[in-house]
Amino acid sequence: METNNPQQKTYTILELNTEIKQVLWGSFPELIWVRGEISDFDKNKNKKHIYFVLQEKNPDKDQIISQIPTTIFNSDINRILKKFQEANLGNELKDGIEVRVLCKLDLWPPHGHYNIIIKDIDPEYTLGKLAQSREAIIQYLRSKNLLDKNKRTFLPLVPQIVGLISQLDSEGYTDFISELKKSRLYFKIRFYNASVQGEKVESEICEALDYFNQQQNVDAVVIVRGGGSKTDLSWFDNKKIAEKIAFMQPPVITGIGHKTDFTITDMVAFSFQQTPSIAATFLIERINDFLGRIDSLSVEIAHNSQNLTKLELQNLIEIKKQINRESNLFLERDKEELKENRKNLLFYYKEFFKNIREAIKQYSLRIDSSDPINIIRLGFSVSKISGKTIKSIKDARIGQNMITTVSDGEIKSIINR
Amino acid sequence: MSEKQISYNEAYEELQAILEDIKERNVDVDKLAAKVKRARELINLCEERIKKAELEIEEIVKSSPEEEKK
Repeated sequence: METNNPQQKTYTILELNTEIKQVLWGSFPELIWVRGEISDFDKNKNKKHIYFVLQEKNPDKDQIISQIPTTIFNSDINRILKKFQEANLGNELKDGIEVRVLCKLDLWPPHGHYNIIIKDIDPEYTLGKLAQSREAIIQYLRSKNLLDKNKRTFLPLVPQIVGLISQLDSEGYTDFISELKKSRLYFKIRFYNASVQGEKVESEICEALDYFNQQQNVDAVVIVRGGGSKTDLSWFDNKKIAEKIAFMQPPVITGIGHKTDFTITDMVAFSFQQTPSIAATFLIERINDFLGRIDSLSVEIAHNSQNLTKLELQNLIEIKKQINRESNLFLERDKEELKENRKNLLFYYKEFFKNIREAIKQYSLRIDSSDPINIIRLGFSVSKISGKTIKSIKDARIGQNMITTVSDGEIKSIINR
Repeated sequence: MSEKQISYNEAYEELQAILEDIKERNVDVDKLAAKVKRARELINLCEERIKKAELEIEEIVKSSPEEEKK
């Protein structure tokens, strides 16, 4: 080898590592900002300094493409955590959280590993990242029309059989159960134990949801947990859980946070309640509402049937009255008619006889005037020869005997010319 | 509702129908008493089931959900 010169400087390992450290420090004399996702953090429980890994993932494949060992010295821990807490991001750093940190690049010569030493943290970045991933999930759910899908399910009027998903004996579980107990109403709780924080949230909640969906023996599913910090709750900003809820047959009710928290799980649920106790109250109120409704139905039925009987009675009385009135009127009308008829009849009789009398008089007058005796009385006379009435001189011959009738007798004469 | 009995929904609808009939006077007076009695029964039935004043908790064993029956 050309460069093989025994006189040339040969580093010991420590010398080399120390010099690399100098080069590093020379290249990065100032503190630098680095962003990445926390990993391997959980091993640090109860240790003096904190060692973990910051990593970068391929955003499409969820695959680690680079990582760097990271340290927070004991003297900085409290200050950094406090800043994190003040942003409502939780009491601890933990795996899966994206952070932007101010750090010094360093190398510890005995090990030769370079790492970064965190001096400060930017909580705004983590908040932004949480919001971003949350927003992406919401967009996805909206595009698939899943945001309101569970809201279109039907919550029975009396949701008595409740599928409860929570962590056994957690604050949320206890609050929910004790609130139901206080109501003194009957409830049957089918309890499915599931993690409500940490990495198991997704798989265990989904498992529990699947269970209740398949069994189809609950009126509603309730997911409860005590309030938590924003990163704690971010476990519920979860796409898989949201999708599962959307396709659930029974309505899903959430009580997983406190007043200001609102996760994607809440967003897709049938009903979002702020706390476990309020979720319990929601069910109790629904049932009390039903009790109130049947109560007022009962009052209304009683009232209306009373009215109906009263009305029927009134109708009967009214009908009786009408019958009386109508029959009286009928009789009255009859009497009147009879009187009228009689009057008419009398009038007609009178008229009839009067007319008849008149007619008879007329006839008798006419008969009188046509009696020949009346004409004779006026001076006219009737002459007969041999019983035959003489109407012309041709009827008479000289020498014939003629009898002439006058008003008071007969004159006998002989025709002489 | 898992129990084979009239559901609250059905009970509620029947009560409403009874009220409607009475309101509209679609009921013979001699059948009215029977209707009112039926309404009372339905209400008692619902209230009895709701106001049992107890809480049953059944824990679902995760490892063998198939064995868990009702």
